[in-house]
Amino acid sequence: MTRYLSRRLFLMVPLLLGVSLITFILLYLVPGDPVHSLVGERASPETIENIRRELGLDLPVHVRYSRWLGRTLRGDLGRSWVTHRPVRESLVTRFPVTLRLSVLAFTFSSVLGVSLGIVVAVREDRGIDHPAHRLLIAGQSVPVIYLCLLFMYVFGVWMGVAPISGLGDGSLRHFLLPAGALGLYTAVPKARMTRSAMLEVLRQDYVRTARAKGLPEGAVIWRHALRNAMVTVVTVLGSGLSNLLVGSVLTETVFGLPGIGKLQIDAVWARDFPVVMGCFIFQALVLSLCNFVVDLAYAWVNPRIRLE
Amino acid sequence: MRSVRLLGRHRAAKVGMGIVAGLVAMALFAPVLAPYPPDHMELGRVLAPPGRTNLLGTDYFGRDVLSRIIFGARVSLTVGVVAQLLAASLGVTLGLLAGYLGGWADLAIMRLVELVLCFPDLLLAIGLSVALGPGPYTLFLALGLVGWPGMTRLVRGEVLALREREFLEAARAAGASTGRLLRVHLFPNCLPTVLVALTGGMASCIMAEASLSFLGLGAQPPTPSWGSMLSLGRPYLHHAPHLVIFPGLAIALAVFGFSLLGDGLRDVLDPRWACSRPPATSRPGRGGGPHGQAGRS
Amino acid sequence: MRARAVAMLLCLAAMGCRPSGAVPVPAPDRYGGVFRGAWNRNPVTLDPAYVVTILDATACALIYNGLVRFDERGRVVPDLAVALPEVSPDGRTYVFELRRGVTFSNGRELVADDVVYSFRRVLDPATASRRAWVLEALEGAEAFSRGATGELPGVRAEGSHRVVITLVAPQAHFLSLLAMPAAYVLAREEVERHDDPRDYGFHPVGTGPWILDTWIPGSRLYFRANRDYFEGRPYLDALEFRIIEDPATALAEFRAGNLHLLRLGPAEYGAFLADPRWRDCLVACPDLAVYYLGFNCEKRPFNDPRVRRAINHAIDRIAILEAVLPGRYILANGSVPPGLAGHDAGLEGYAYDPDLARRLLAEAGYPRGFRMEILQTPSPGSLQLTEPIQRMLAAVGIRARLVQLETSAFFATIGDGGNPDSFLVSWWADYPEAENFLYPMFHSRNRGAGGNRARFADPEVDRLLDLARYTLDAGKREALYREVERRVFAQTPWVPLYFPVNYLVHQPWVGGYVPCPVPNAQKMTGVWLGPQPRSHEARETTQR
Repeated sequence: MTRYLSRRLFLMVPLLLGVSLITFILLYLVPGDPVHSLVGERASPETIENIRRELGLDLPVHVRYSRWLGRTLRGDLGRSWVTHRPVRESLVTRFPVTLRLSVLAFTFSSVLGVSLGIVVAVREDRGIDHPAHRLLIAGQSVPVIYLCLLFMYVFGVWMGVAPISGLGDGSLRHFLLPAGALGLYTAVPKARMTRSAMLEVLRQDYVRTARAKGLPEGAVIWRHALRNAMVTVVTVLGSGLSNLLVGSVLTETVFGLPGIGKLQIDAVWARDFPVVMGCFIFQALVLSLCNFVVDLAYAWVNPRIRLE
Repeated sequence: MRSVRLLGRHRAAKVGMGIVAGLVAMALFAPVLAPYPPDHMELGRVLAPPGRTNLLGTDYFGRDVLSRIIFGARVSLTVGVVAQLLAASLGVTLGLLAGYLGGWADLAIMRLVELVLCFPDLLLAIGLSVALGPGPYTLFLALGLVGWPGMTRLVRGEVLALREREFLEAARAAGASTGRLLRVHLFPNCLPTVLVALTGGMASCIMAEASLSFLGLGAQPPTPSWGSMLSLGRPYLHHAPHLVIFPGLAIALAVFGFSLLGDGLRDVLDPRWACSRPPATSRPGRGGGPHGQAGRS
Repeated sequence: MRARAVAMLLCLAAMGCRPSGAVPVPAPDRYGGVFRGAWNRNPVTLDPAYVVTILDATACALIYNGLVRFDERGRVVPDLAVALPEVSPDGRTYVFELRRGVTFSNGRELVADDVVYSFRRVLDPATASRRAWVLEALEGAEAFSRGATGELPGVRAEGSHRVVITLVAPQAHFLSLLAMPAAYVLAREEVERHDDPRDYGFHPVGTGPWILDTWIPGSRLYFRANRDYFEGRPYLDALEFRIIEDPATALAEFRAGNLHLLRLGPAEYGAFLADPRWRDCLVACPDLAVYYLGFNCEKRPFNDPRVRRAINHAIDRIAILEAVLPGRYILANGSVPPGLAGHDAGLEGYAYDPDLARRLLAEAGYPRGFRMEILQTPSPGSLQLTEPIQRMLAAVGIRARLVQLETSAFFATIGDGGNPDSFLVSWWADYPEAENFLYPMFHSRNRGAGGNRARFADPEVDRLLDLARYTLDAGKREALYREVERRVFAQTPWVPLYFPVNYLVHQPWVGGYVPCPVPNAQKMTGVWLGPQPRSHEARETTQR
């Protein structure tokens, strides 16, 4: 078990290196450099040269990468080319926003998704489900940006019950709409997977036996079926993380929330390489760590893995 | 043939097929179906709400929203088909090779797959689109290059399962070359899985196209694309919500159609999936089941 | 149509320019309160050496002072200097007497050495300032900014309160340059306090009326009043600016009374103007900027003036602008906005006449038109202009393709890095002078990245511009600039589109707000908050 886990942790290193390399190469391929938008109008060629040298743009790509890597390994992600703010500081100040959004959305979507999945599965098991299942597929077909815009319109503009966008004073009500939209969006796949898992369990012999014994249906579902379906549910919750991350990038962009995703998209537009690199690495790291935790949880609920 | 008949009996698949057929018809016959040319402007009739002259209203140039949505089907479908074909050809080839050759090749290919899967797909697509610069081929390439690893995983799994089967042994004993083995024996057996994944992939491609266009990285104006209609309509959310509501519905409907069709295909073609099993390989991240690709972005 | 727009503008401008506010309050009762505003983006930096954007200039104006500044009408007035400087007869030497008793917000008194330090810092190659060109006329600036010498004879302190500036050659608009953010005065010890001088931009210290208290990036900035400000403390206790990118959100917050001032988006202007409750609170603010479709005058077929004229005749500018920006534009026929000395109201534009356009194209040898590209940045605003233009060009046989480039790539391409056909771009004034439009955009010396994106070249225009820049007599200078503009637009290097007009609306209980066309003229010192009517919340609900 320990060996398995340490191997998993160790494997993250080449992965992160790969991510940074791919990101770096992509950024290197980007046509043009940001110098022209940095200097504004009327800068002399010397000024432009000067800034290019300051940013290290005159160096060959492998030198730039190894320099970046060296600094990053020392914990220094560099400074934004546009604002001069240290990238790490930007990540640290913006992470709480993303975290808050993600945790709220995750909680909402987990509760909603899992319970919806169970309800649908139980009903389907009795042969009354199909429309609900179709509804789930329909739900999965709504792009998160559209969901965000609909939420903005319905709750923000039309009903006026919550702030339309922005962080405001950072209070919870500013997170209502984004977390709601993102939560709803990520709830659907969870519901679908929970439904499948529950269905499979419900068709197992021991459930039939329990029913045959005359146990009340509630007890059958809670005590027997659900507990066994939990193995899958843990995976379901974990597998939503990547989705959540992408969703949060788009949600933050639409709602103008100053989180990591917004930072990243803005930096991509501004060709702010150090910030883009920092965001990608940070996300890859968070994602790998989350997956690692999910693996732990998975191994914990599923003894078969532990033996491997 | 049997599958086609089965599909005809599958209710969800029928609905899906209906929607997809409708979309294809919309794209093919757009000039006939649309009441106005998509870029016909009436500067005197801007931001008109839905009504008799313009069923779904007009935008900030007085262009007919319905007509633009109809023409938008062309963009979405083209991007979806081309990107999926690209992803499939890349993914299937690598998957076959990895699964069949095993050893070194397998290791290298699968490490690459894992690496690409490490990026959340939409973020990778954003990076690629920025790197390639906006243009007609950017979307194809970006979405195609993002889609292949899932396909590779699937095909490899399929091949691994087939590798030790007798008919392959027999073919090998009869002296068939590796290329022939892959083409004639392995590939056709993977086809159902690939087909299911392709259909699901279409759904996610349409969504991803919308998201990229929403961020301004997709179709270039004046091409009417659903995603860019969303993005350009957004400032008018207060006064002309129809600019956002209808294109979004179009996206959702298209994705819905392809998802239903994909599910139906899966039930029919791939009996293993018929009784709602949880994705066997459901690992955190993508590439879970054949449907693992859908439902992103 | 144009006359109407202008009339409306003038009327609104008149309304706006009187210090407004529903209930007049005697001056002693105006103190206190927190002003709540919104910015649509996060400022990039508050270090004057790196300020490029208008928002950064606006923010820096609150914190810093220069030797001189612009007043709300764009005139240069003394700021840290006691009076406008004495200028030597040859126009090369400026002597400034500094005010006494001016302190930085860290408590130290400002002295002449601070001015010298600040100017040297901007020119120092180690600073890599984006705005070194502002001070490039100083004697010795060229060698100093190359790093060839540590001497900068162009600026020196004489005693503790006198600064002497010498120029290489006379420059008619030099005082305007000194009012720009790049010439703000900052304290050396505050810059050097940080291990990395780049951190200074987030902890700025100046002599201005406001002191930066908190800055949460992407969220809000909070400035408190400098009670020791040398012109007397501002009325307000503090300013809070929230970053609100989405105009709909800003509108909702304003209507809920949570914002005191709002910059109106295109969709809202009509509703506010029609509403009698708000009419008195609307403030028109013409921007010192021009939007235009530029041609690459060096490239075929745009090197033929007939082709450029044909395109001008093919575009119905008024129809486009009325649809897209009703009431928010002044039709441009030249490059210098109204309100600047040198603006020529008599310039005539090219009327919409597609038949004439086709005839001109045929004459130039393109009876069946040609293909061209229009470059632009990916903002919805520019698309709203280029998409109709594209259609109108198609009507005369020109097949235009719209190419959206990311901002930096766009400026690189229309600068020296590419060979575009045409491009939609705007030019925003750094200082309110006709020179700031005509010299960078039409002098052949500034071809490409220097500002002359149209690659326009005319030796006579060059000569007149050089002459005007050294002409110290204001009347003569204005005449020269008018002549330049007539010569340039007779050759149609552009399709001039419009001068933007912005509308601001403030709450009825906000007093003393005067709009400033030059962004860094707004010091917010005269703004005060009257008693807020209690019924306010009840009155406003979110508009459907």
